[in-house]
Amino acid sequence: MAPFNLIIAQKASPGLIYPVLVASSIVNAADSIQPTAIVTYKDADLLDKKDEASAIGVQFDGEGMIYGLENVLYRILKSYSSALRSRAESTVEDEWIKFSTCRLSGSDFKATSAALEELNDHLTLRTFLVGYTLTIADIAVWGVLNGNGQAISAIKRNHLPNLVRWFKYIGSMERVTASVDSFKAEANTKKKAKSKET
Amino acid sequence: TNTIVSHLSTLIPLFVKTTYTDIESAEIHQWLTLTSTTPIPEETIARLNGNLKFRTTILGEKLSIADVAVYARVKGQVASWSDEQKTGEKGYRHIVRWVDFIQNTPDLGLQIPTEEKVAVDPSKVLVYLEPEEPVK
Repeated sequence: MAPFNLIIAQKASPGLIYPVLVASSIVNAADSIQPTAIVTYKDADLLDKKDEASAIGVQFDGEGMIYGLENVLYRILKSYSSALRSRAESTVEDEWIKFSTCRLSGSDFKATSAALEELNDHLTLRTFLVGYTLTIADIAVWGVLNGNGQAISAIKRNHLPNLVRWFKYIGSMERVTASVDSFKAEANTKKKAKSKET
Repeated sequence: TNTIVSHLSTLIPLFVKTTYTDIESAEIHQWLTLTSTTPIPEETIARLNGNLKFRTTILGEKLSIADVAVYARVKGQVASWSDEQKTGEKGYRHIVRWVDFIQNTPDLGLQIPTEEKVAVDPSKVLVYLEPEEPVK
């Protein structure tokens, strides 16, 4: 499979970045021979000032740069659907990608609460959002939730047990958290370097 | 029978490479003991359901031989439950979710034939519970 470059605007909202970071580390883990995703950080809000969606970008061998959370996810899915979907030909996961970007990234408290309750109901008899394995559905929702402070504090209230259980479980997987942790570490070193300068 | 269960655990590759803390080992032992009578008493069923409310596996997030052994011991009872007992107001919904996870997760590689699985339809929930009052 063709390797790809992932470029991340470090100062952008984490919810726009985490889903792609996690997806790329899952893809890397699936191909143990050579890492497929090469991550580069840029110390900026946007990669292209004229493009509001450019918090994140992906470039595959011999192709142009693609910007934006959903576009980037779908481009990665196109090449790695068997590692990221319940079945290679499944499309159920796409609904959850939409759910995460449309319903979980806003700042309206009521809307976020309603979306979280829906998730809690959906997870009553389910361990993963789709099927019996980790898919891009879990990755997208978990990643966007992590960037939404309102959602995080709602989860910490423990009043939605199925959601709390799922959130802890996805967050316990090393292949999910490793990329997010190294992103945070990278951001911290830059912060420290800056505070020494001043 | 718990000696046999301990021996069986060496046959599942995942368990050979997983290490458990003393507390986790004690918890595994506790659940093996609690579920060693047939049928499993109502009190233990209720306790198991409570344990699985915030936990994906019996230990929390880590799979163990307790998941496999308790699944094998409880599945007959779960299969006999009515919809009300499964997902009614007071149903043991968390056990049903966990049973379906254990019998299907590729991580354990149990390869249970479909006809031996407990029938679970994840979209069939009799009562969705209201959000609980936050614990202060």
